[in-house]
Amino acid sequence: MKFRIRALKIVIKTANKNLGVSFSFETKGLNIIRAENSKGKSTIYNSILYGLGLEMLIGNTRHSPLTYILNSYVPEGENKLPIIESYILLEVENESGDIRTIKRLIVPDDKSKLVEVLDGPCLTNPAHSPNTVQQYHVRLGGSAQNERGFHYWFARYLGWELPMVQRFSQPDSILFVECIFPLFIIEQKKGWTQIQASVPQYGIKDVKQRALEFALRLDSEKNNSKRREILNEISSITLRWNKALHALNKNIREINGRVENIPGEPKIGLETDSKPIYQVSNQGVWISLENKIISLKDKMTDLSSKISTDNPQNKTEQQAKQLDSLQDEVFRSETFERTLSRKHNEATTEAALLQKRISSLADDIRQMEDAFKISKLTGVAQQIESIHSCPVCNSNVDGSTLSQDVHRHLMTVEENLKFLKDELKAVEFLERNNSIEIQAVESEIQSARAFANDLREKIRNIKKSLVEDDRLPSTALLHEKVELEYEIKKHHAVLDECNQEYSQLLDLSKEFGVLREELGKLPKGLSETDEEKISQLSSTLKAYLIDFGFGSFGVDALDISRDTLQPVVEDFDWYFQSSGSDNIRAIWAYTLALLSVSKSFNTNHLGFLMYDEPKQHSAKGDSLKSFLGKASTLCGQDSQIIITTSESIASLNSLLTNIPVKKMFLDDGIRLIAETT
Amino acid sequence: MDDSIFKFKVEKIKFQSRPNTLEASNRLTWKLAFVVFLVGRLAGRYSVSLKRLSVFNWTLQDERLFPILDEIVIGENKLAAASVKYEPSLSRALLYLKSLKLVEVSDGKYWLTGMGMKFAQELEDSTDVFIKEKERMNKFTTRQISEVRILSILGGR
Repeated sequence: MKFRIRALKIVIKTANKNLGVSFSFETKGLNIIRAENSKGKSTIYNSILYGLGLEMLIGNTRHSPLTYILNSYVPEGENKLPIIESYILLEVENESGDIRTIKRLIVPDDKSKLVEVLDGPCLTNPAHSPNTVQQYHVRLGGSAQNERGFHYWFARYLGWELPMVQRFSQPDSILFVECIFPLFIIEQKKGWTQIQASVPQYGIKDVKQRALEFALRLDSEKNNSKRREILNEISSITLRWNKALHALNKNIREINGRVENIPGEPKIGLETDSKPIYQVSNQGVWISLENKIISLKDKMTDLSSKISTDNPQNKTEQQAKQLDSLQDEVFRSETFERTLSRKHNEATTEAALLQKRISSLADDIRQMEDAFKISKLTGVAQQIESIHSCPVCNSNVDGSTLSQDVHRHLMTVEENLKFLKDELKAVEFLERNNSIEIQAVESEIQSARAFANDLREKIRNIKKSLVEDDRLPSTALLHEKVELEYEIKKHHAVLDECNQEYSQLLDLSKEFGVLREELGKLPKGLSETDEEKISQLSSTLKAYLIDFGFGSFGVDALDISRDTLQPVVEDFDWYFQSSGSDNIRAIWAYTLALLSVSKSFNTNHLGFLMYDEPKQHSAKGDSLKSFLGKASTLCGQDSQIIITTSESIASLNSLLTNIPVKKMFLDDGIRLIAETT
Repeated sequence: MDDSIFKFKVEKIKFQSRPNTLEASNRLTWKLAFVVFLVGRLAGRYSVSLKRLSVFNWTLQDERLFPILDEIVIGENKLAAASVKYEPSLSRALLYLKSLKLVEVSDGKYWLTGMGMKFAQELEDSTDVFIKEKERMNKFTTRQISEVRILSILGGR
C-alpha cells in the first residue's frame, strides 16, 4: 500500500484580488513546512485533510472546519473582502503510480460536498490537460459505500479492502476511511492527547482496535471480518427461516390449526430431529392433520351410505332426536368458546406486560452500553472508573451513586450488560411463546365458532327437512356432503402447502449447518504472523522511546495489549503514568513503529505520515532531533512524511544537520497564504 | 407421611455471594458523565441551579419520562413540573464531580471547570453516546431551557 501527496495548491478569489499558495512535496522522504505561529501552517495542514474529505479528524462539526481566510473573507486593513470562490487542489499518487488531482471547493458552500478527481499531474505539470474528470460526493450519507461516494473511490485508489465491522445498536458497516487515518495523520488540536485521539466513533464497537487491526493487516482482523460475514449470512437465514415459519403458521391457521415441533430459530439437523406435527382443533381437542383428513373421509363414507339408505318412514323421528342432540352441542360449544375467550384475555394482558418489560430492558441496555462506551473514552472517564474511595471522606465507594452505607457486591458494566442482554433474550423468548399461545387460542376460538355455526346450519337444515317432501333426499344430508367435500379438499391443500414450506426450512437448516461449521473452523485470537508483527511493534516502540528520551517509567515495563493493540503498562493505558512531554514522545514512537512494521511485513500502512506541530509540551530539542532523524531514516526510498512546525529557522537548521529533508521554510512575519497574480 | 427425603445428614451449608445488578443510571461512570453532559448543556458558559438540573436529570434518564419533560419545557405545565423527583444521587454525583475538579459550585449554582468542559465536549463529539438524550435536548431552544424560565415553571418548589 502506498499513498503520496505530490503537490498542494490553495486558490482564494475575491472581487479585488486573488490569494493562494502552492507546494510540491518530496514523495520519498521527509518534508518540513516551517512558518511562524498564526501565519497559516494549520490552514495548510487542515486544507490537506479537507481535500481528502477527512475534516472529521479536526472536529465533529457540520460547518466547515477551515478558517475564515478560506471560507469567508480576506482581511484588508479594516475591510473584509468577501470570498467569491476558493478551492483546494491536491495531487496524489498511489502504489501503482496512478497520479490524480483532487479538487474540492470551499466557497461556494453549496458545492463543498462535491469532489472532482482529475487524471494526471495537473499541479506539477501545468501543461497536462486531464482526459477525465470524475465527480464524487463527500460527507453525505453513503459517501463510503456508494459508487459515487468519494471515500468509496478513495479506498479503492489506496488499494484498501475495508472490512465490515460491528456497530452498537445499528447494522454492521464498513470500517470508514476516517477511522483509519488518525494512525497516519496527527493534527494539532486533539491529535497529541493520545494515540488515535481524533478517531470518529460512528457507533463502531472498539473502533480504535478495528483500525489498528486493519492497518497492521492482522489475520485476526481477516478472521473477525469473515466471522462477521458468516454471522450476517446467519442473520439472513434467520430472517428467511422466520418468514417461512410465519407462512407455514398462516397457512395452517386457515383450517384453525397449529404446527408443533418446529424451532423458532434455525436449527441444524431439522430433518432427523424435528419432524413437524400439524394439528387442528377438533371440538376442543388437538388432533393431527392427517387424522383429521382420515376422519373427514370416514365421515364422508358414512354420509354417502346414509343418503343412499335414507328411509322416509323413520326420517322425522330420527331428525327430531338429532335436533335435540345438536342443540345440546351448540350450548357446550358456546360454553367452551367463553372459556377460550377468558384464556385469550389473560394471554393478551401478559403480552402487554412482556412488551413493557422488553422496552424497559432495551432502555436499560442502551444506557449500559453508554456506560461501557464512556468508560472507553479518555483520561477523565477512566479517572471516574478508578474511583474506589470517596475523595472527600475517604470511605469506600462501590462504583454506584447510591448510599454507600449498604455493602454491595456489584457486577461490572460488562457483566451487567451481558446479564441484561440475557434477560432480554429470556423475556423475548417468553413473549414469542406467549404470542404463539395467543395464536393457538385464536385458532381454537375460530374453530369453536366455526363448529358452532356449522351446528346451527345443521339445525336450520334439519328444520327445513322436517317440512319438505319425504320422497326427496334430505337437504341437511346433501348440504353436509357438499360441506365435507370442500373441507377435505381444503385440508389436503393446506397439508401440501405446509409440506412445501417445511422443505424450504429443511434447505435453510442445511445452509445453516454449513455456515455453523465454517464458523467453528475459523481460528480465534492472533495467528503466529500476528504475534510476530505485534512483537516487532513492541520492540521497535521501546527502542524509539529510549532514543527519544522517554523518562516517565522504564520502557521494559511496556507491552502492546493483545486486546486493544495499544501500549500498556501492567495492563493500564500508559498515558496515565506518563508526563505530558513523554505522551508526545510516545505518539511519535508508536506512529513511527507502525511505519517500521510495514517495512518488514505485509500491512495496510500507507507509508505516509503527517504531523502538525510535533513539538508539543516543550519536548526537548534532543528528542525532536532524534525524532526527525528517525523519521527521515524510516522514509528511506519508499515513504513520505510531512511535518508542519513553528520552530525557529536557526533551531531547525541545527536539528536537521545531516538529516535529508525537503525544507519549505518561511521567514518570520511572512504569511503562507499570500496574494497571487 | 414418607419422610425419607429428610433422612440425609447436612454437614455444611455454603453460601456464595453473587454480584448484584445495578442499572446504568446508578453507576458512577454513567451518572457522572450524564451530569457533566447536563451541566454542559444547561450552564453553557454560565451556571445552573440544582433545581433546574433536577428537572432534566430526572426526566432525561428514562425514555418513558421524555413526554413529561416536553410537558414542562414546551407546554409550561406546572402540574407536570410538580411531579419532578429530586434524586439524592444527583447531589452525590455533583459532590464527586466537584472533588474530581470537573464541576465548581458557588451560591448553589454549578458550572464546569476547564477539565469538565473538555470532558463535556468529548461526550458531545462522541456520536454514539447519549444519542437519545442529545436528540431530546436538541428539540429545545436555549431560551426554553433557560434558568429564569424553568424556575418560573417550577414555581415555589
